[in-house]
Order: sequence, then structure tokens, then C-alpha cells
Amino acid sequence: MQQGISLKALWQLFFAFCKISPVTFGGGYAIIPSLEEAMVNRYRWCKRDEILDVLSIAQTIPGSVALNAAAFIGYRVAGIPGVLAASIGMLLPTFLIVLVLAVFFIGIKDMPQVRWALFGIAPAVVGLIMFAGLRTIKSSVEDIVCLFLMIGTFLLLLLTNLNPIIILILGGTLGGVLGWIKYKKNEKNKPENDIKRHSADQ
Amino acid sequence: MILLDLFIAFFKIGIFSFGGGYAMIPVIEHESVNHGWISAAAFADSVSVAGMSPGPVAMNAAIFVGYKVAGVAGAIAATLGMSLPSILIIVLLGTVFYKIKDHPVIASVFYGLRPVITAFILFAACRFAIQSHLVSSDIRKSVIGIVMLLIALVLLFYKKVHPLALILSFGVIGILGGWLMA
Repeated sequence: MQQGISLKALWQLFFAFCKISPVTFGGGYAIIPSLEEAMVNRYRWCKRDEILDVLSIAQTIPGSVALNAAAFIGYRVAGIPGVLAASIGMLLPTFLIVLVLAVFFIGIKDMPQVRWALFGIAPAVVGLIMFAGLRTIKSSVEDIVCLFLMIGTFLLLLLTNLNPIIILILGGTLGGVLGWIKYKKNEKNKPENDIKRHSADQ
Repeated sequence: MILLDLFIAFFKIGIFSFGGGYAMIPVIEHESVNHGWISAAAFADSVSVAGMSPGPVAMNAAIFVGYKVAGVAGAIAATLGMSLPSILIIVLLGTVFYKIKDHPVIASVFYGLRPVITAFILFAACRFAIQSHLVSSDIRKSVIGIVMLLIALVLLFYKKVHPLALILSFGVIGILGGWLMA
């Protein structure tokens, strides 16, 4: 870990992520351009191709992509104090905005105009969530096994009253075992295929 | 103690929030409703408000639930619970993660986990549609809602409309519709 982490670096982390945070609408992906601009061009905390690694890690581990990316960059720049500075920077602006909206909303939620506004907003929110889900299909449903896993999970959620966390663990474990079987099968077939191709060439 | 309950419930959710958070909306609903913190209908409201704010929708819903249960302190407890797991994982695994990310076992787990997460996100959308009465026994309202949903999807997929612009304009349409019907 770096020695003598300066207070200045921590402030920079905090402010950089404070500025990026309000841009993160509808999931974390909207931050990629502003993250690149600040991390690569302005502060030179990482190189351009490292941003991709940061994002792939941020997407893999649990939690929001934006917060994970901030915590990871904070860690690389200034260790654990950096994680805290960057995470608080990322969390604080949206936290305050949601808080103000919540206070405001609870005061007016029974007004008829608000109910009508929410009736109009509902399809937009469903659309946003569906859009996020449908976009993941391209990378998540690789083959027929994944398709069955997806449909099976959906039906379990819809038709049973099981705790969703149990369903997630069950589905993830089953999927992991199936993925492992697929990997082993591919590994076994690979050399054979190579040999076959070789003999065909000859 | 209510703050500790909030923290523990959202810490648990935070550990499992793969897929950027949308997938956790049904989990947050399950926990919050089971604890008696919020009704299913009020939770649908909180998801709408969460969608209007920047930041991950699931985190925003957590802040909203925390605030409703125990004020500002509750909101802070929920936020800390939700974000601490990922921060801990980064600190523990941050440096070695590059190396193990492509390990066959990890790759196999994610091969199976990804379609499960997709199902969670799509279910969150359906569940919200029901809870917000977008789809209900009122046929006329349901038809209007589904037509608006299709318009929203077209705008998102083909016009790349900003989420906030979409939500605000649909809110205005809702108010105008209510005013016309009155």
C-alpha cells in the first residue's frame, strides 16, 4: 500500500465522486463516460484500458456498479481511507437527493394530482426495469441451459412464496454446477476435436 | 432495536445484490413487507420515487424504506447496510480479483448466476406493474398503462431517452390525463 496518503488525495477522491454521483441515473452504466474523463484525463488515477477492468470487476461483485467502481478506484489510489473517501463521495449526493424527495413525497402522496402523476410514471418505471433486464439477456443467456434457468427462476418467483434470497442461492448453485459440467465437457472435447480436425486436414 | 434491524436486513440484501441492484427490488420488497416496515402498495410508490432520483434504484428504495421506518437515522442505517458488503469485498478481494475472475469455478458460477439475475430483474418489472396497479382488474386503465409501457420501451430502446426525462414526461402525462378525466 502507498505510504503517506495525503489528505489532498482523499479530498480529491471525495470531490471527484461527488461530482460523478448525480449523473448515475438508471443504473450505473451512465457514469462510464464521466468516470473515464475524471479518472483518466483529469486525475490520472488509472489508464484508459484499466477502466475496463475496473468496470468488469464492479459488475461482477454484488452492489451497485457505480459504488463498486468508486470503492475500487479509491482502494487503488489510497488504500482503505481511499475506499471510504470515494464511497462517501459517491453515496452522499444521491442519498441527500433521495432523502429530500422522500420527505417531500410523504407529505404530498395522497393528493389526487400526485396519484395521477404516479399512474403516469408507473409504465415509465416498468419500462426502465424491463429495459435493464432485457439488455442483460444478450450476455446472460448463452445457451438453452441458461434459458431454462432464467424461465425456471422467473416461474419460482412468480408462483411460489419462497424467500427470493433462497431462490437466488438455489438458482445460482444449480447454474454453477451446470456451468461446471459444461466446462468439463468442453475441456474433454477440445483435444479430440483438434485431433479430428488434424486428421481431416491430412 | 429498529436501526440495527434495518442495518442487518439491508446488509443481507447488499451481499446478494448481483446485477447492479435492479434484481434486488423483489428482495427488498420481501424483507420490508415481512418486517412490517411498509405495505406492498407503499413500496411500489417508493420504487417510483427511487426511479426519479440519480443513483441505483435499489439503493434509493432502501433509503426510502429506511427513512419511512426510522427517519434520517433509518435512511443512514439502510444505506450503510446496503453498501458495506460491496465495500468489504473490494477491500478483501480488490487486489486478487483480477486473477481469480477468469478461474473456471468462478466463471461457472457466473455462467449460472447471470440468467437467474436476468429473471430477477424481469420479475421486478412484472411485480412493480402489478403493485402500482399498472395492470389491474380495471381493464381501461390497464390498456392505457400497457400502451404507455410499450411507448416507454420504444423510447428507451430506439431513442435512448434519458430516464429522468422519461419519468418526468410520463408524470406530466398522468396529471394531464387525470385532469381531462375529472
